Amino acid sequence: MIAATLVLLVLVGITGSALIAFWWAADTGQFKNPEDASKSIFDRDESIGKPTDHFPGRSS
Amino acid sequence: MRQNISQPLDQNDLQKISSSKAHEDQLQRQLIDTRCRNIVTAFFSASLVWLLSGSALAIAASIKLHSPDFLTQSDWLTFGRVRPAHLNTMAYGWVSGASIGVGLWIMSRLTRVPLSKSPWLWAAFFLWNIGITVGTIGILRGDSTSIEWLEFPGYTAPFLLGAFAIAMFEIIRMMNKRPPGHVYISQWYILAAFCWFPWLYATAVILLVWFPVQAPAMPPINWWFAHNALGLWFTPVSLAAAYYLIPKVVGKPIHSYYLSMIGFWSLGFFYAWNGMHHLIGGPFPAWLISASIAASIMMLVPVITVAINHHMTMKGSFHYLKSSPTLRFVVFAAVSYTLVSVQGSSAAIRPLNQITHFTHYTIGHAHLGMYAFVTMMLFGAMYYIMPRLWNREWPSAFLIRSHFWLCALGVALMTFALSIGGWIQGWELNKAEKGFMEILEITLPYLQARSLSGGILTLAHLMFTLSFLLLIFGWSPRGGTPTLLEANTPFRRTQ
Repeated sequence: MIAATLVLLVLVGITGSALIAFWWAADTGQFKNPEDASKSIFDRDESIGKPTDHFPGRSS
Repeated sequence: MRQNISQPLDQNDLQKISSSKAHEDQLQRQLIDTRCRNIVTAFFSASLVWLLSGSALAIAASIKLHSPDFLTQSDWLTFGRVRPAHLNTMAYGWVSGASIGVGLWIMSRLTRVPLSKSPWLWAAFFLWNIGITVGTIGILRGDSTSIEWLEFPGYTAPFLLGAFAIAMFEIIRMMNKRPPGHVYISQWYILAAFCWFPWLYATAVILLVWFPVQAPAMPPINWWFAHNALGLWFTPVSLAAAYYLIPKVVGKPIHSYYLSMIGFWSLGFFYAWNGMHHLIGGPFPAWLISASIAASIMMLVPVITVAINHHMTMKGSFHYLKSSPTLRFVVFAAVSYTLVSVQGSSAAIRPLNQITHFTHYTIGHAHLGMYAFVTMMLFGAMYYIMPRLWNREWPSAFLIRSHFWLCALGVALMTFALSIGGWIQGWELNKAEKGFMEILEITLPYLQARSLSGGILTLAHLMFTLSFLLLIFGWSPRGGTPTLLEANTPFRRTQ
């Protein structure tokens, strides 16, 4: 019984940590301008429209 | 650049600024990659050693299932030892070691914060690999805990926990130092995975190994841990890699950032409740099992969002599969993620579970997840990362192609053989009049196919290891723009 309670507490803890992180994300504007976020992985020299991987010996 | 600041910039000036900023980005990436080079390569190298060791143990265990007299001379080579040694070297040595390397590199790239220079990460590397070595030897000499996915003896846990704590703090440090702005979806997945896993592992080790709880409470804790290791550690790191690599390789942002966020948050909310579906039919509170079945079905939400997002991002770019080694592995893995998740949710439904439970079907499902999804994703990530760390091209397109096709063939054979064989096995086991040995004989061809697939996969692993070694020892072309080189001169040694 004690173990089941402990596991339940940890389950609630993990879900709770996700809830706290969710609240933080909403509070800091992480859900605003998602299109900008999706472009954040591109650099000015590795920009959108530029593929970055090929088999050796073959460029596009 | 201009004498008079009030004068408007002309085209030439804009080009110079743009080119200097592009150069800045390139230099920043170079700094990040240089700082990552040794430690990430070390994690990858050690993980490959475990991959090969785990493959050898897998073949031994698999052959024993249809030829029980194979390697019976020594007690340390008995099935009860080589099988858990295989599982643990693969799960912790190969997948977790490579995931730490991939996680550190992607987080460093996305936060634009170079890895720490402190020796702590090296301490993590040594602790992790000492832990796996001690644990594997422990299992083989008969010290296994007999708790599935946690067979390493209790004395190895401090090594693994210490290593993971260091990796977690490094991930948190990079997040903390990142420039202000959006947190990309891959960062969310990596941050969550590196915080969730030590928590899961510590809880399971404390309650099951160090201070074992009463026996009836052990299976729920065991399966809570084992299933979450897959869903809250291996899965998030692999999805982080997919969300970073697919857009980068095809040069296109992900189709819908909204969907990616729904996928992440629903994984966080639903996954932790999934593990109890392994105990359907067992002597456990019905509500616990039912809640887990409901959560397993709810997992279709993140899975479908991820599948739609990846497919729509790839739409119009499928031709890159011909030209990009990374994309081949990553797309194969992404499709497998959808398949394994739908298969997992369906197997949690009681009537289906009555057939598949305690059969080879579950082993086929595990290989679809841990190999076709996670391992293929890690291979794809390593194909992208290594040339950038070493500023060198992969040595041979032939080795990459052979590696891919052998992996694809091997894992497809294994999954089909075990799924079909397991289904028949479950169907027959439910018939009270059928003898156990009779059913065992029906499964033999499927078990032989499993051994064959293990051999094919091991050959693929040897080819990848050869490629990896040729790259790091300089037997491959060098270039300033990795993986976009013109030279086609395999096995040419470079400095």
